[in-house]
Amino acid sequence: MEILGSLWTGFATTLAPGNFLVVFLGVVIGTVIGVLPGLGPTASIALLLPATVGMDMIPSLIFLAGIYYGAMYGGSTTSILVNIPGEAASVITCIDGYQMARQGRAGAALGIAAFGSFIGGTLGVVAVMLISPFLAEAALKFGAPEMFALLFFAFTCIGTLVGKSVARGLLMAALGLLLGVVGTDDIHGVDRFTFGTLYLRDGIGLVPLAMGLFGLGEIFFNIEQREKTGSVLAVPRNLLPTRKDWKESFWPVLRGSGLGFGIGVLPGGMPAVASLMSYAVEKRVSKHPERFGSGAVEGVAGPETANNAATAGGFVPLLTLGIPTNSVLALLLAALMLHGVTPGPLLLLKWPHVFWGVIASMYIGNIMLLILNLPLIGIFVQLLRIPYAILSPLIIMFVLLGAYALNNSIADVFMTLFFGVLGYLLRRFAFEPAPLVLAFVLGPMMEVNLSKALIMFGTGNPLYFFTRPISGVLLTLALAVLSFPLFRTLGKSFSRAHESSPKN
Amino acid sequence: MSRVDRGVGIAALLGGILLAIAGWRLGPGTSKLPGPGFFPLLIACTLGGLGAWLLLRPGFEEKSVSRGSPRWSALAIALISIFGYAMVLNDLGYLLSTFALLTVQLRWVEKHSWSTSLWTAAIASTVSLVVFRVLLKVPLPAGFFPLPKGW
Repeated sequence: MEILGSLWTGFATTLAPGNFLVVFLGVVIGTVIGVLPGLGPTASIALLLPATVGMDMIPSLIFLAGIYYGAMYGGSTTSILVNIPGEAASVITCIDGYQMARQGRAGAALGIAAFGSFIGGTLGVVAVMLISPFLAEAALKFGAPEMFALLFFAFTCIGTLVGKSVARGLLMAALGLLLGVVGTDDIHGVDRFTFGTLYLRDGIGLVPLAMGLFGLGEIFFNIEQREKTGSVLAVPRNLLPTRKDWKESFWPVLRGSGLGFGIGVLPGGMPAVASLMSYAVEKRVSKHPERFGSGAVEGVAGPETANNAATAGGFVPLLTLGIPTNSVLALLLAALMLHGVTPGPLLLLKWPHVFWGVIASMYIGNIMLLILNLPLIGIFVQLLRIPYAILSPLIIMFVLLGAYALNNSIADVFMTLFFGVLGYLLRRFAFEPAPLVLAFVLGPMMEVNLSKALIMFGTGNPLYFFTRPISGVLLTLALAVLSFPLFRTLGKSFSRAHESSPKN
Repeated sequence: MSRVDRGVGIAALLGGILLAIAGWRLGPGTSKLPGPGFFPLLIACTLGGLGAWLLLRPGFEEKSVSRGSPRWSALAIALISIFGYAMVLNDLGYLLSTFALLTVQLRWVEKHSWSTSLWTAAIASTVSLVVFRVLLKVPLPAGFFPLPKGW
């Protein structure tokens, strides 16, 4: 009952004319970003973050959140009609979505993607609403050792779950930790790795880092490796899936909602991971796995539902524990902090209107996206006809403008360029930048909690963390996550050696 | 082991060693009272360990992300023009430097015609100046180019 009352207050906040307009703007901009290849939600939110500084706290948050889940909706359009994913979470939709479109079933593919996204997103928001208050209450009992253990667990998950190579993922995360320690040390007030510059004393900014890695890095890569885009397929008039499509999509949508939400809650559980896993699950449980890859509607329904459910799921650790599970949420964390709100267990107690306002805006945003996306899909597709050769210089201009506008500082522009080059190199050599950004955000929190735990409990024994039940369980889980790939590699080496040994 | 992994592994190992030295100089403290170098030292160990892992692990075959013949000159022009833009932004002002940046990008990186490049650059730099400086009140540098009153 209490939850319903709070939700009602949230709706009252979001339905205020100004906020309602902001939700609308956020989801429309998000959809456009999702539709346009080359400008993902991370770079876009980083770009628009400085523009929200002047806004009130709630409108700025629901605007940025709207961009995030709007982009998840929009990403499927290009996957289905052009075979180019608008953003990472829609990569897998290309496989069956584009095949459906080539067979003249683009309408069904776009329709099921939109409905699946709506159902996954809405069920995800319901779960966020029901779980978050309990998790926040439990997290209030966390001391420094528990927080450190939780952050360490998050660090290991981020390094191992994101990307194809665990070693590379962890290396990126370690680099993120290193970048996070640049600046004046919070505890001792000592300058670290500032090279005597005043600019680095405040540390490296998250916005130049994210805009460089995800915005400029992607553009540089596309400049170097220009890819010819395919022709845009025509948008059919009928976008409603048939009864058969619905029947075949029912279970994939339900499974996608559960799986996506579960993955979204985990650190490193990005929507792209959720959509990939959903596709793998659907193919495995299907009675006709051979249809996957040649236009199976389940291959669109499951992943598109899962990526939206994961988007919602990511808000649970962000709002209740202050832990972002992906790079977009790291920027939302920065947005909250810019407005003086510290996300974590106290958010629900100190700023309930923020929490419930965001939740209500997500309900409204999901409905808006469903209403907008199907009738306006033709307009969004027209955007795809803008040549990338015109778009990319304009994106560069906006990235540099955003970098400068944050602090009116040329140093931020140089920093963005530096991370742009790094982002390009990472993309070029198949390193995933997301663990770097996440570890960059989590690192300082990890350090503070580790130092607090060691100083306050003064045992000097690292095994002390294992004597406290919550931190013990979390650290054991972290070690299990870390050792799993090691055992897998050893197992593979063993079986390879066994196979190659001469038979007696 | 791929060549990239070998290079990155060596860089991570060396980076780890350098970071460990820097962390030690900052003062690691003790495990009861960690100093400012404590956490960097832990990161150094992690970096070094991961570098060794990359060097020693059995071959990881990554798929090439290359999609065709690289356009190195276009990339070099893009990078140099952005660097130059950051150098002159405060002196030339937003309008002129953005116009120049966009012209270079459109003409030499994206290979558009002169007329397309100049028109697009002029429209985009003016519209963005109006939106950000005039409407959103972002204090973009004016430079010496005479702007209308109130801009």
